[in-house]
Amino acid sequence: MMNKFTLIGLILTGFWLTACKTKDELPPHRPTPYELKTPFGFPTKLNIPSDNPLTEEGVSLGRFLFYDGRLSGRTHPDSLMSCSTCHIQKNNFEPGVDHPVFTGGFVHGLSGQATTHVVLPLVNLVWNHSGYGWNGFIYPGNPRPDLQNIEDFVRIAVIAPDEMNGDTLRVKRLFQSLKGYPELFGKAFGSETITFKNIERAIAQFVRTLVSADAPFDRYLRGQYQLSPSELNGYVLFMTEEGADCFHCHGGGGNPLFTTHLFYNNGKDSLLSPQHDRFSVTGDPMQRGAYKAPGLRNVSLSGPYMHDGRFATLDEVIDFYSHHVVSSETIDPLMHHVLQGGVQLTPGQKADLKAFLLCLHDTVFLNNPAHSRPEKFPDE
Amino acid sequence: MNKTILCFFCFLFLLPSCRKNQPEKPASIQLTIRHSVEGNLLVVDTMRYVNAAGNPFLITEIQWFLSHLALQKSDGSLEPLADDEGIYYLDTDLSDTWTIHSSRPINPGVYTGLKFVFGLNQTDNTSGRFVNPPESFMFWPEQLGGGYHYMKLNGKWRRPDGLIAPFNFHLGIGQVYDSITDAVRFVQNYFEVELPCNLQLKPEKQTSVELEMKVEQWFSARHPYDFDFWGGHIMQNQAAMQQACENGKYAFAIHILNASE
Ligand code: HEC
Ligand code: HEC
Ligand SMILES: [Cu+2]
Repeated sequence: MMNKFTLIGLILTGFWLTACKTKDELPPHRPTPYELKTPFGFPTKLNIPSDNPLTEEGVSLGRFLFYDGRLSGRTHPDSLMSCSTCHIQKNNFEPGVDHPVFTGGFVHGLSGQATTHVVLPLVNLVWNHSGYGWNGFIYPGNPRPDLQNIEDFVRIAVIAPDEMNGDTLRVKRLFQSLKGYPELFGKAFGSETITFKNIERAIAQFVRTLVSADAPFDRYLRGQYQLSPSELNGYVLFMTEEGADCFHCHGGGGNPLFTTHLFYNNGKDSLLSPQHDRFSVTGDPMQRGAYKAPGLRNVSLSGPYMHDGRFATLDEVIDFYSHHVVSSETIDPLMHHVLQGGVQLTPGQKADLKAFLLCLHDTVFLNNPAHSRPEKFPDE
Repeated sequence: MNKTILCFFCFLFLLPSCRKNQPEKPASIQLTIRHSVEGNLLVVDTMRYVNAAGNPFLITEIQWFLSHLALQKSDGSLEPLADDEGIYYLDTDLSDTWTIHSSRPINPGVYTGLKFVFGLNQTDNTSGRFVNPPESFMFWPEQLGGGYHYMKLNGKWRRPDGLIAPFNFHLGIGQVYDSITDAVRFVQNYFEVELPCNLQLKPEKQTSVELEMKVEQWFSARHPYDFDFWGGHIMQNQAAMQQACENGKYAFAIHILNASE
């Protein structure tokens, strides 16, 4: 039932299409979309910039780059550094307190300079909309266009003297010269000419796929695991005001990220003059001494604890919340046990709370081969 | 080109003819939420208020739900502002939550009141309903009855000994405990608010209305709420939540900003 006009239209379009085709030698660039499944109870809104959608090709390239020590822009064995130097999978993408070089888990860059804060884990970051870094200085909507998202963390890590101390131009040129890499960039981004922007994009894509959602507690939520009496009691303590009262800031059953990704002064110090707190980002004097509440997944591996690594063990953290919380003008109202010094847990309750926190230990994530060091790099 | 214009006119003709059995074009309503203390806009983070019990206090933030928002006619019939449960999250820190627009066509006419549920009713208040922030951050622990906080009103007060103590004035499902520590029964603390007004909505016009939360009323309307007595947290204290909710029924007022011209 095609009428004359439609027919002519179709023919014309056909002409037009083929005309375009002949001009362009390369096939159109169509990478495979990467399907990120939303785990049970997790938010459905993802923080993915519109100009960097997840693709299979991008993620797999990002994985190479994340682990490739030549990201420092250098090839000498002594001056290699990659994201994985500090962000180690088996330690929840943190260095670990027993690191052979970074004593106590305190990291420093290639120049020897120590980082301002201790490392943050790279876990479930795609659900963080409020800011990356301990003080959230990188966030979507920042008036600074160069401090928006994980892509920018890549550049910072490469340049910063307390990290790779490198130079984006040199890094880009080095990877252009490495056999195999240009082809992978072509597959991921449609051009074999490597740009630093595309290096940022690929690594950010990989980091966004680091999802932990298979801890015993997740299985408990899905009805596949029974918490032990001690774990269950720990969970109740975590979730109640009369108990340990952690859930307002660190989530729980209704927020399995185990953080709000928001910024609080949790009562560690009475005098507040830190240089890089939340106040340094927002200028809001009520946020002096505030830092991001980190997620508690795999928390037993996240030491040293707090932005300055002041606590070496989880027991010290629990003791702090129990007995050593101190008042200050900007202490968050959610720390409402402060005048008693904390939530006053008994030794038995502390053990239960710890048992519950250990239910957030996700061995599937820590051993997921998709997140691990590639066996071979593209030029090997 | 000419033909296009012709078609366009034909189309315009057709449009109204479809609406034969709906004589009047719908109206719309915009609700702005204003948090006030003693009539003035709430100022956060400074110890400038004193409640009925004599506690000097400050407020850091208020986060709350209202639901089943509807206009009421003199015959008691309701005209909901949304087709679903009409659940709205309001947050003194997030200015984009301060305005609510009707999301369905509202029948023009005379209305005599605004009605809503403070918090979430028993049917609506189910765990897992919100997975995305900021609503998901309002979750109310399963052990305490589940669902979501109706409200988190946070602040600090000055105790008689001069020390500043934080308070979490959090409302949600209450619990009745046995002599030990297990909750044996849950209490639905949500309540309905009815605010009489005289609103005439005209077809194709938007009417703007202000919903005021008079924050001081939470601590005074029926029971002087004494922080020194109730302390800094009440999520597991049904007696405190009950008094709070009895006060809260009087914490709202409605003001018509522009009747549709
Ligand atoms: C020298 C060690 C080191 C290296 C190498 C390193 N990081 Fe980090 N990373 C850190 C530290 C320290 C922080 C915490 C920064 C802060 O907030 O002060 C951090 C934080 C982050 C965060 C923020 C996480 C959050 O929850 O907010 C991201 C994302 C990140 N790094 C990604 C990377 C990527 C990608 C690379 C490789 C390009 C990399 N890092 C290389 C030490 C390192
Ligand atoms: C008022 C919000 C708030 C409450 C309540 C709270 N925390 Fe935190 N938590 C934070 C913030 C903020 C940090 C980071 C502070 C810093 O680095 O200076 C933190 C850090 C931590 C860390 C260290 C994580 C890391 O990777 O370094 C652990 C563990 C922790 N909290 C556990 C708990 C437990 C257990 C409870 C309940 C007893 C609790 N928190 C209650 C806000 C809170
Ligand atoms: Cu609460």
